[in-house]
Amino acid sequence: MHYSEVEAKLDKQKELSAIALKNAVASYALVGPPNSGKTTLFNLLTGMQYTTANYPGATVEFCTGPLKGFENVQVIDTPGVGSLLAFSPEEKVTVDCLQQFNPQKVMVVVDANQLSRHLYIAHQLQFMGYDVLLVVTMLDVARKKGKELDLDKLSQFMECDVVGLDPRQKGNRQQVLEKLKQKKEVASIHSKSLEELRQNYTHDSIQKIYEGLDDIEKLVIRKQAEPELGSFVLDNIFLHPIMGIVSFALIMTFIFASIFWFAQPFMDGIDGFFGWAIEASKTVLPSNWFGDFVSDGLIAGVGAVAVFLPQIVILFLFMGILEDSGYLARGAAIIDRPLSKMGLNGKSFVPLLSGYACAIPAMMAARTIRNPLERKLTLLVIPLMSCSARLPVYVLLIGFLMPAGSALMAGAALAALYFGGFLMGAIVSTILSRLVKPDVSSSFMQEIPPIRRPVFKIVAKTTYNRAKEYVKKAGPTILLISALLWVFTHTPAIGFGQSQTSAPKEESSEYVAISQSLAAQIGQWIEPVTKPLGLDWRGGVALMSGFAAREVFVSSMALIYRLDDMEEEEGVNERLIKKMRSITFIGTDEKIFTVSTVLGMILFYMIALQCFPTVAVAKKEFGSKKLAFLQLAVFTGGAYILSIFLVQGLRLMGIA
Amino acid sequence: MEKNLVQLNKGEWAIIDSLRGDDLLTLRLKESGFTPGSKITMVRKTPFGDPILYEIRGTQIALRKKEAECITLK
Repeated sequence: MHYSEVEAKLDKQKELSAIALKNAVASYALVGPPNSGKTTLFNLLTGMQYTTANYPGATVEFCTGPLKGFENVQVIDTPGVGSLLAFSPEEKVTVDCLQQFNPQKVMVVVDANQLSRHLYIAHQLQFMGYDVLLVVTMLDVARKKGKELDLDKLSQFMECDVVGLDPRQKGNRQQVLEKLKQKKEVASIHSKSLEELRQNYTHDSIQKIYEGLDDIEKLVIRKQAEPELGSFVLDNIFLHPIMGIVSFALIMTFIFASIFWFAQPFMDGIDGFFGWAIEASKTVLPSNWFGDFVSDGLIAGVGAVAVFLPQIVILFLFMGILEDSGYLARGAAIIDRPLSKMGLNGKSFVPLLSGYACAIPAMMAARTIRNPLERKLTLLVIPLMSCSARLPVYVLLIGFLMPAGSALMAGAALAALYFGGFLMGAIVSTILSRLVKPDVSSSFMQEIPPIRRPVFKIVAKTTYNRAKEYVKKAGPTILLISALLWVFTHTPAIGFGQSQTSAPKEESSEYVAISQSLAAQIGQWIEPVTKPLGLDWRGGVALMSGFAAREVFVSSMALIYRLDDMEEEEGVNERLIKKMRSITFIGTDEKIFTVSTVLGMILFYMIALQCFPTVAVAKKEFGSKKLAFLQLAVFTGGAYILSIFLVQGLRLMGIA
Repeated sequence: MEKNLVQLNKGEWAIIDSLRGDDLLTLRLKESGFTPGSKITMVRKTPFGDPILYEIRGTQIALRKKEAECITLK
């Protein structure tokens, strides 16, 4: 894929939203601080029909969805912010979005339990001239704390419409819709610029505004009981000096290990299915090149990757649970101190963690980091966190190293690889942070929301959306590369077969065919590059195909080492590992895949930046082409050199 | 002898007197509701001892010691 094409694709999401908004007869924006229940309201209004899916962590880009039942009315969800002074990137996104699309009404979502803090941004929006509808959430929680809110009074004091959301009552949606329909008599004038806003919200005026909001809060809330100190019971564990660290380590280990443990039965099922599908397609399709192409090219290629979908779904699922339960904010606060020693920030936690799913949304999530240097260091090390595309590669290679059926060991090995990625990132950023002087001092401020039981329906739906997005992104590439590789490995290169003088004497016909293919010719060009890694040209081609998409490596291996002669009952993955164990260098008994070469490949995949969409996003988020390309060159070059050292070093130590 | 936020023990509360230090940082703190005159309670430390969790205006916010030192108490 072309670099510029990737860039265009990234803007497509924004473009889609922009087009939807342009064609809409009306648009309503949602603005509110983090943890105010903004997403819940967005889901309620749109029926969870995202035009664009949001990723783990934080909403850092605005997204849109049609109002359920009104196709031509759009709802805009903006990043969760508590202020519009735009001193941070996500605040800037919100301000730009409002100014660009000029929504009819701005719904400001406020938590009934922290009214004054959340009314502050409503004050700013009113100052800017927007028609504000206050949506008060978590009234049920407030009631439990003995607080009763007088919403009519709130409407009177804030001089805007107010609607309360109570999850235990029906008709919430209807109430919001009715208020949305009401038009303000005076047309709203949004003439205030960001400069005017900043001039108006100074130290002294903020103080006065809060004094006013305090008065409103006092008049609106009828206290029925003195609120108790809201220390959350579970925090006695999660934030305990010892148990807090232990539980943090356990949660992280559990997530990464369970990727292996829980996924196994599903993976066996899918693997078996594709094994069966290959055989079945062979009996149905004609036994010519076309039948071959479909069964051994397309089905085997897709199957080799589809097998890993359960693991990716499980990773997304656990991240969704952490996100929805409120643990992510705690994780960030816990890990702030260690991360700050590495030149990072507690706010780097969510971007780094979501880097284990995909580097692209992770880099976008880094916008929440206020300090420019910490933000750049986070962006730099994100690609070292092993994203879900590397999972299939690791699983195959670990499967090769481990005896069959040792899920526990394999899980531990995977957890070690995942931790290894983080460790490398920690070393890189520690060193760099000592070399570069920061121009802004570091700070950390993180709201800790109450621990909630995750809502299954929401977690399931977001997991589904993210998995779908993943398949849509990776699927076509895998199919295309599988087809291309099949063609390359089956098409003889012109004049190539004859000129090959060093052809092995007694090789299977299978090898003779592939050794005269186009792939062989390409492979032999790159063989000098892959030889130091202990790989023959076939392994080299498979390794290089990872630059199209990392997971393609697995299907390339399946295609290039020709699984078609294997026994019928086995799944694709099983066959591939078996084949890897037996394959030798041409004309010799020397095995290609040994402990050292496989470890070398694992190390290469851990470090190399093989994903071009990531480079495109990095360029955007760094705000510098130079830094993005430097990152690409250093990581990929470093991966290559370190892998050679590892393979050759192990061999020197006598480990084949 | 001036008291700042770091000196609060677990469960103790006080009234914010003033904010001192970096201009952008104190503006940020004010915007988040750490205004002079508001009540603030020390909830607990996080496992590594820093940041510290405070309750203010109906929510809990974790602040590093360095920021908490900018907030003086009455």
